[in-house]
Amino acid sequence: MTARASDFRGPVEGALSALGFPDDFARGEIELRAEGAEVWLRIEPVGTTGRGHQIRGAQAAVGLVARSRIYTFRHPPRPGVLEKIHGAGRQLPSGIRVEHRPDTGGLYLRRDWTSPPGSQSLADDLQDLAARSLAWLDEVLPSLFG
Amino acid sequence: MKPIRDDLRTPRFDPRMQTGPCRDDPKVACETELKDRFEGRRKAVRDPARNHGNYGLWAPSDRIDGFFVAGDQRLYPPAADLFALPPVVASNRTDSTPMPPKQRIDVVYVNGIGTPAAQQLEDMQATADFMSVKGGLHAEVRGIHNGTDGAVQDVLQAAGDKFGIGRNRAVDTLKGVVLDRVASGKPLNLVVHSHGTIIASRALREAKLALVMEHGKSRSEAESALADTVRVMTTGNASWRFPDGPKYVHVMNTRDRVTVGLGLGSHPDVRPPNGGGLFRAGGRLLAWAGRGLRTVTEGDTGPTYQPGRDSQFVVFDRKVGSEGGKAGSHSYRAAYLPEIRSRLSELAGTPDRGGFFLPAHYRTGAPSEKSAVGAVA
Repeated sequence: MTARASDFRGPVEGALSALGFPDDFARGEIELRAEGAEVWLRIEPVGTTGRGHQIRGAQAAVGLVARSRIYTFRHPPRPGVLEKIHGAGRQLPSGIRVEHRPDTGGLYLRRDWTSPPGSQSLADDLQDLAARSLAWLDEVLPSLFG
Repeated sequence: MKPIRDDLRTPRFDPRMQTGPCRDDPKVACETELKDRFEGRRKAVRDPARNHGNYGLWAPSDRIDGFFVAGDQRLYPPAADLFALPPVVASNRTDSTPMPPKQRIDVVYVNGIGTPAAQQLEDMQATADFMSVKGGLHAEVRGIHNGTDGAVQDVLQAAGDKFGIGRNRAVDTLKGVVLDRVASGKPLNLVVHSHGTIIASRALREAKLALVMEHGKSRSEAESALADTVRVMTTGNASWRFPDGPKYVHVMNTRDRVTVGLGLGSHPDVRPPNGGGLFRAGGRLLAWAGRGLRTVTEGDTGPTYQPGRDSQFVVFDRKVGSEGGKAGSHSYRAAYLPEIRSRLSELAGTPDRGGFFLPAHYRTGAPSEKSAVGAVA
């Protein structure tokens, strides 16, 4: 069973309320800035390449995606850098992965939900994601490169 | 996780401030008189189209976080060329002709908590005056504004940075300045106060990462490039950790509760002239608690204090009274008391004159610099 965008509205509203943000999810995306963290929460097609192109044979469906910024590359990363970062990303708990988007230069921690989560669970997961991304900037990247 | 900047989504001011020419065009200054902002008066904007509203004492700083503060009392967006902007120079300098690089020290000042841009300008003036006293050298000071949302929010932001959960637009601006100077090989002298030390710490860490991850330097090459280019003087220190690479002088008053509680003031190597007493013990307790928190939440068991491999301490112990709402022993002016000033003036020269800062003509590998500045702490 595939989830629809409207299925995520309730949990997201509840999570935003629990985190103290106004509900501003009408367009299916919101940017949360809090205590230095930057988290983007949005409805996205799942089963795509990440640029909106559907993978052949996959069913059209949507999911909820949260990205928390770790770092922004102003120049393309040198060879081997992303491999090291993704290697360190294997230590992350299940469900969280490192994502680099060449179009923006952003390096993110990303978490996906393909079915609607509970509001409190979503709020906790967003906080966890934000804290982890900042810890990556402070601890993980310096241990690899700093 | 509480939003501390939700006003960005519901702007109380003219949104043109965020998207207008003074933010986007590096050649256009925000023509708001800083003095008027400081005093909370209505704007004094030349162009009515840039009427940003009636800024109070604190509100505007959020909008100008990370902006450059120049000697013409104007603010410039981070896209501007910082070192092409007019600097603040010593009060006694009457010659308006540009100084040759051998006689010039380029300084960037980052302010701390509760410092409106107009106050920052006064601090920049004090910096230019104290650094221009020795041997015919002339400091030219430009600022990066650390936006102030209000004292309480700033403390939260400082605590956030402290425990690794903060990000600040001034960090991005300073990181860009550091990387530009490293790339050009021109020296950068940073003078940072209070929360500005946290911003400098984070910006230098990110700059070091950028040198490795984006510019292909090894860790030691990145540290060497920063050591050749960047000098940092901290006052009212509020950060425990500074990255290896740049050279540091940490100027600390052991009566300053911010420095003792949140900064390097309770570092075991910091020995105040008269011991510091209970104040210092309390600071160490706070530092210990902070480390304990990090150990529990992030599994961090590393050393709490990292003053930077190549750093020295200038320590004094003097209670400073509050005047005009200024923060007493923690204030920036506390570093300019006569007895401290005489010690600081020793640093306020260039390496070939026994000082710490790098003159504008300095280039990597100058032998006099290598011999004059050594690791102390």
